[in-house]
Amino acid sequence: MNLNAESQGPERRITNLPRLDPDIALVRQFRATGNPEVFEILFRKYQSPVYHLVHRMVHGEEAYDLTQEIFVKALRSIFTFKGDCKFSTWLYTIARNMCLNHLRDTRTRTDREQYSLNDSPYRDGDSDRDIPDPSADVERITEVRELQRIVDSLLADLPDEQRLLITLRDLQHLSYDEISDITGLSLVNVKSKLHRARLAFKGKFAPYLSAVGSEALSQSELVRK
Amino acid sequence: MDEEEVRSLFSEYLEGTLSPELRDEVQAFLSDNPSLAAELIQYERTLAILHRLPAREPVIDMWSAISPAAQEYKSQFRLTLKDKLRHKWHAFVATLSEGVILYTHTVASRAQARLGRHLLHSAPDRIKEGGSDA
Repeated sequence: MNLNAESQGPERRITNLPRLDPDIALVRQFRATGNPEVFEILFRKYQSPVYHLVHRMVHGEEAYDLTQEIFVKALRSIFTFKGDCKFSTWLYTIARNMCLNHLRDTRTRTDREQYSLNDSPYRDGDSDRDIPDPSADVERITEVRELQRIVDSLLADLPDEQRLLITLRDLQHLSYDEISDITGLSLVNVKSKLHRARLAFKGKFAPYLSAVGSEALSQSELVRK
Repeated sequence: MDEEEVRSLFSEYLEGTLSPELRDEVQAFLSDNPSLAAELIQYERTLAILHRLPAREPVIDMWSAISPAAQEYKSQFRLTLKDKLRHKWHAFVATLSEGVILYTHTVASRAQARLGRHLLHSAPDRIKEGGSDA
């Protein structure tokens, strides 16, 4: 006879109940009611991380358009979300696919316009992508904005997959499992490809490394907080 | 272990996911190769900078652009009378089932507690009775 169950308070019993992922609960609610306010909650929660990923991948004003397209696509295909992974993982997968498609389309368009294959797709009207000359960088990099600009420029020079992996792991701090789900790569592949990406980035960033002042880093910390 | 092999373990070394034996091997190799050790420090510093960079935040409100699509979705979400009735029926059955389960659970808990009390009180009497019969 289990008399212990009698002695357990109501609080204890409540904590023993399985917890439903709040995002999945919201998705279910949205599916059942179609209430836009429910989707807005999900949007507000994920607009920054998705925008961050998109911005690192495509940059410029296009990042806003693409972020909006990602959420509209998520809204329209929400019935395909089975709930077998986190909502964020599902959303990131859509974002990843749309970013890569966008970059491929941009390149195809650029090729058609007879630009060089090696040109960056961001060239049109996006001076922000110009890689700063390290030798001209006589002053220390003291502003976090400047540091962001350099990192963006160098990341843009990496292949799409490497940029995606660095963004997901080192800038968005996702777990290897989540990255594996988002990219469809095996865990071992994620780790080895990420390592290669990091080495490639390190090679490009080396001339700037000594110029990064503690001011910029402390500003980064403040902004993060 | 050669230089390239050690370089390929930089990430795992810094993340602390290497086995203790392998970590010791890497450390021993690095202590004999100052140039590779310097490379590791550079690698670590680069990662630290990336990790500390703040996230890019959107400066415009994008919901205004998504809201029409959400409204459109809601307008497509009109249920037929049959579907509405089916929804209500399922909701009723779910609530009823929940009530029955809760009621049964309460009755079972009470019965269990009553049985426990009964066994505790009647056990000494039975022992006495059993003893006198013998």
